[in-house]
Amino acid sequence: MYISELTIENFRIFGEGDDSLVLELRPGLNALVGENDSGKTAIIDALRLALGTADQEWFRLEDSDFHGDNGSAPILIACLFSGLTRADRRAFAEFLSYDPDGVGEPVFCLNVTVADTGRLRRGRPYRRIEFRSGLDGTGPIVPQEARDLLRATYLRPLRDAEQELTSGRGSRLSQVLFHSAQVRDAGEDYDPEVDTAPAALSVLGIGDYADSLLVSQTGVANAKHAIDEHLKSLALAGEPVTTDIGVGGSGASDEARLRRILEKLDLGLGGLGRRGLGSNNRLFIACELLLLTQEEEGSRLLLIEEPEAHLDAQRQLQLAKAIREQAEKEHLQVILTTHSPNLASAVELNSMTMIRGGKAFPLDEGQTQLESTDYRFLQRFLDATKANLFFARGVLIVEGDAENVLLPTIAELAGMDLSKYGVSIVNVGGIGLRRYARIFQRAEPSEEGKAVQEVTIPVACITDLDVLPECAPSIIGREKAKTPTMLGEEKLRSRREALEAKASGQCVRTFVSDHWTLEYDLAVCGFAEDVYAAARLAKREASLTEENLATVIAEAKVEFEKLRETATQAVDAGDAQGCSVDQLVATYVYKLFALDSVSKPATAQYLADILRRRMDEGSLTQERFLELAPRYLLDAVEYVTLGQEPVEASTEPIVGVPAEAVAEAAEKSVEHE
Amino acid sequence: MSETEAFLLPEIDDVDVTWAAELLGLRPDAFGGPAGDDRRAVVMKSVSTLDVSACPGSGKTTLLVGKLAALGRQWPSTTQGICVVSHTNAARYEIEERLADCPIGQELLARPHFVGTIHGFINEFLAIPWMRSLGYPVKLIDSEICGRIRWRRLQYNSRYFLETNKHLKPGSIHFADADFTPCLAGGAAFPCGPDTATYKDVHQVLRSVAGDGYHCYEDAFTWANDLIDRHSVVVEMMRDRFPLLFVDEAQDNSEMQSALLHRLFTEGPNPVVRQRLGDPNQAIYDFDDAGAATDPFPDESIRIDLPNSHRFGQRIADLADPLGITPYGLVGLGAPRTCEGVDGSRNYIILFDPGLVGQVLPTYGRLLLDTFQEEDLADGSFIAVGQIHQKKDDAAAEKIPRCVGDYWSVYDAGVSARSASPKKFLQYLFAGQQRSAETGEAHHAVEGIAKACLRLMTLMASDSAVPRRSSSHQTVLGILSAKPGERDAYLNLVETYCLALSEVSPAAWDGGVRSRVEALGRELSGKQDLTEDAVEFLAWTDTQPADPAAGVRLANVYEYPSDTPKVAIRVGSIHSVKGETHTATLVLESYWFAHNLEKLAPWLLGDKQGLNAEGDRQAKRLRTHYVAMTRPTHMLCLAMRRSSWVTGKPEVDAATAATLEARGWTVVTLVESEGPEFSIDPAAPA
Repeated sequence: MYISELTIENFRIFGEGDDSLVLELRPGLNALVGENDSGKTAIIDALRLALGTADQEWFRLEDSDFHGDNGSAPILIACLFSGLTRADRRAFAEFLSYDPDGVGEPVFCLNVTVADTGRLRRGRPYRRIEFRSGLDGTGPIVPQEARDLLRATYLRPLRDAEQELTSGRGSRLSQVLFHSAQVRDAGEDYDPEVDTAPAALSVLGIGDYADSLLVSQTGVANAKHAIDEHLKSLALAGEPVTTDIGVGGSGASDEARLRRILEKLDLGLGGLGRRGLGSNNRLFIACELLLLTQEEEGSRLLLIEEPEAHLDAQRQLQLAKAIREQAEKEHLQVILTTHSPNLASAVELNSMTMIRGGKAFPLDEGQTQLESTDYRFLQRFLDATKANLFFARGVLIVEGDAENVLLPTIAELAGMDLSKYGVSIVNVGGIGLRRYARIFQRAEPSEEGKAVQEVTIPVACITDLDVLPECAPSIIGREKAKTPTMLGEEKLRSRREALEAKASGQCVRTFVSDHWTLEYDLAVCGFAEDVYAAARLAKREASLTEENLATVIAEAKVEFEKLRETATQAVDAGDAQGCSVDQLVATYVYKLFALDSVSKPATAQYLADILRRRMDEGSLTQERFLELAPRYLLDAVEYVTLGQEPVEASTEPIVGVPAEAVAEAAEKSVEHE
Repeated sequence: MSETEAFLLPEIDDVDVTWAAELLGLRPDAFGGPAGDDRRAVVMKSVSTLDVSACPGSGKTTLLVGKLAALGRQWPSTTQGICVVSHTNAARYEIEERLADCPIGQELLARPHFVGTIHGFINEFLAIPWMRSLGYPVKLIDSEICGRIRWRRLQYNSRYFLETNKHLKPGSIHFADADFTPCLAGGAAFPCGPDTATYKDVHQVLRSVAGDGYHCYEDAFTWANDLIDRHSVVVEMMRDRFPLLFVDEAQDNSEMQSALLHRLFTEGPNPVVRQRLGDPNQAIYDFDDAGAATDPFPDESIRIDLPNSHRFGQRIADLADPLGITPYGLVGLGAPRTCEGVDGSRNYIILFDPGLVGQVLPTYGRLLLDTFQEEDLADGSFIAVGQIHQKKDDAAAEKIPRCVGDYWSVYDAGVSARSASPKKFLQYLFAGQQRSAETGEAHHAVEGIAKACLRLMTLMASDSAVPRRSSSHQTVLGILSAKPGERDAYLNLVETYCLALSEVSPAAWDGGVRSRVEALGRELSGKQDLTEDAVEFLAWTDTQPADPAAGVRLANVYEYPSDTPKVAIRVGSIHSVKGETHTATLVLESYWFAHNLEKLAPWLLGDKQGLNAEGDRQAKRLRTHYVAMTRPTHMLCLAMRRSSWVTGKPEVDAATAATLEARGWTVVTLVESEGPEFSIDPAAPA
């Protein structure tokens, strides 16, 4: 059986009614993703409180665990178990809830309430905790013996894995081995009368054999005789005294002796000396999985918090895969929290639940506006560079690398630092922009009259209008490209509206470029010279050195003046199909990308540098920038930072795109349609 | 969890049998017998389906507890268990007492096992989960209260019609299925057609009362069967959960119970291992029907008899045996504990004139004093019982003795009946105090007073919804948790009457205690007005307060002699002493369509044996009196009218007296004209 629905009320960030949490869960792997303080840990802790854990560690409740200021409302945690096997049904027979229509399978609901009585008992706040069955939480009490079957296996974050794996009393390794049938049953017991080869002895037999060898060892035996001699001189005549040397604890039960032998063992990785924290963590998880799968009866629920600790990217991917496969093979239900885009990218979208501001948003089919083809697409393309969208407070989804590179700078110049606002940029590389956006759009509820619970993360899609100025088709040789005249006013408007409508609704909005593309729009609105300079730098990137940099910029300036002159003459001569000088100049600038295959991402990078430098020099002010910059970009940035407080010194770094990924993307960058 | 594989029951070998005997403080050969041929060992070791027909005193319950301990010691599962059902919690108490110091005892009483009543089982595993799933809450399962609520909710017209024209009373309307189709007790057809207003009214009342959470005991079977109809998976589920089923006192199963247990556990393929224990001769049904027709007990093909009684000697065995429905030749192996100078050979018939009915108990007391040593009188258990202990209607006075109450005017049927719930606050308290005094454990009295408080609450506010806690006491404390003052008041009551076991005098009751209880009732119910029912519930009962010097005097215990008591005689119904063992038992004449013992005269005289062609009433008389006559270890007494023997003759004739003496009875007569004095010739031949 598995938990199909978890309800939490009045526990930490979860309140009552609309503020309570209702989390739908699936058999197998469930990954909870979300920014810090969104409630991920509260969910795991609620489950620990309700079910208990296999390590028998009691979850200690604090005053602050009660929701709200007065903290008087009782905590409620309700776990609905579905998919009961025959064995589950028999075990919880007296607590089942049946389908009144006689159709559905029986389910088991465990309701845990913790009420603060307001009284003290032995100096501590006395809280009454009650475990009841029934869908409405008023059924018969579920006693400890039954709840013992529900204990979850819990892996805490950053745990001291090394200590757990080394020898010693109650070590995890000894527990794992103790439950292994091989360790318990294989081999012969030691019998002093029978001459058994040491290799054929059981683990316990080896221990007993060693004990007997110890006692009869020459040195030990001699010492015993010496003690006996001294004792004789101290004893009264005729009083026979001898000593007896034995091995401590050799009279204990088989189980106790076996445990003691196993506690002598360490677990290490072959060929390595002292293990790193990451290796320890992996070993530890492996041990827990083994122990859990050895359990014949009882819960198959595994709670894992942030297993990515100390693991590099590759090993995170491997871990996620291993957990997913184990969950399937052993019919485990795994509830895992993660901060890691790496790990998240290796988890199927279907198994993922976004946690945001105390609300849960499962991403499986039917819950979002994603179609089944979208799931296949995203499964292929949602990699670690994009998975940071699960952890963001605002998301900018862009078509290509240029926007990806340039937007942080544009936002910064506009006075909004994206990283401070926890905004992630997702670069879809030209395809599937809207599919990513639909991750954030919830399906319409099947129940009539029920309002859709919207995701509160602002998501902005940025896309190009792709309408060329009248002069452009002939200049760049794309005669059939759309221009305002070709389209007419009506079609132009509907084209824009159609683009906006493709991805909008709920928290998602699309921002369409004012004219053509990012580069053209920047150029036409007053940054033509900067874009041109950046493009020249990009074109000569391979031969660029510290020394010739200034020369290239100077040359570009001269070239740009020439371009401008040409344009002015053309406009004056009436050769510009009614375009302005700015439009014509911008079109000339854009020709570099369209015909001279200058890299857009590289240009973006140089442009960012140039704009920042101008701001530093004072040749560009923030007021002037806000005046000139393309409206749609400013609107998008404003939207994703809207109503948000900047995060002070982000505790969780917003995972940007690694530099090598940009370089790689730049290489294969192609002009998109 | 792993899927179910075929469950392997633990095997019980001779070592386990010996271990279990020693665990219970018995001789190692207690089950196997000195020669190792006692059939109890066969029953002990069997893990296949069988029916054990066990005579009174055969040590059936001890055997069951021993077997459970042996099984529990090796029980391999935490999700599959043993189910032990009966009509009383006797097996549970027995496990609590006999296995108190042994962890296995606690384990057997907890999950995954079930030890309790059939009703408790049906409620816990089937009826309550299903009712709750259907949206009918379960606040209270109590036929009396539920019956009253149903009755009260009827429209005046329907109630008047049912009362006047159909002679129905509160508690007589039931439903036959999950659609609340009205019927009468036992499923009898409802006297009005489905189109009548009365029928419709009853129909909706039944549904609405269930919707409010009030249910009768018998509803459980309707719901359980409905659940199986709708979710057939529960049959597999129950068989998985309980691969081994014990049914104790199987002879008392009603058709309803037997059919449901059969349907759940043994009908069709893959039945569980079921072992039933009981004595067909001792069947006394709680219900009016004639026992189970489905899967009747015992099934002759799997029957094992245990005819050896370890309770009494052959003399008592011979006196009781003819009353068995099918006498199987009781073998009396004697009592495990003997009283000095008493060999069980002196058994009396007290023949009295109806005017001297009040002298029967003193006479019995005298006989006991004459027979037993002082020490045995103090330690032994001495009982006087009759088939009818409470007058159901005002049967004519010339029928005296009609019931136990006729022998002793202060007898209070409400307290003694262990199966019926008390009718008064004080009866709850007295019964709890009695059990606490017997066991030395306060929780019986505490639960008694707490139950009484909750009952009072329900009587004052029939709609009060209370979250039930682990005990009634905890429930009361829960309700009062926000009211420290009232909580203290309640705890003061508990302290005085449950921990210190102070007795309540009428003066104290009317002089303050009752008003304290009333105040508590107001707090619990949130209602100011005492309803009529509540006032009646709080009325003083006829149970007399104790003599302060004697400490707590137990309800329905007759002490003799009254000035300096030497023997305490517990008085009650035969029904209430089922399964018990006494040092001496007096069986009192009572009236049920006829005088019962009088109707049994041919069996007492040896003219008849077994049921043969007799009717149902006579069968019931035989079974009931067989139960009563097989209780004592040392002395059996009967009390009958002198006129019982020859029709029209006021007294026993010489020939009959001689026959009785010859069968082993010593005749004692109480003749009106001779006054209350009587004499026994100690040298009279046995």
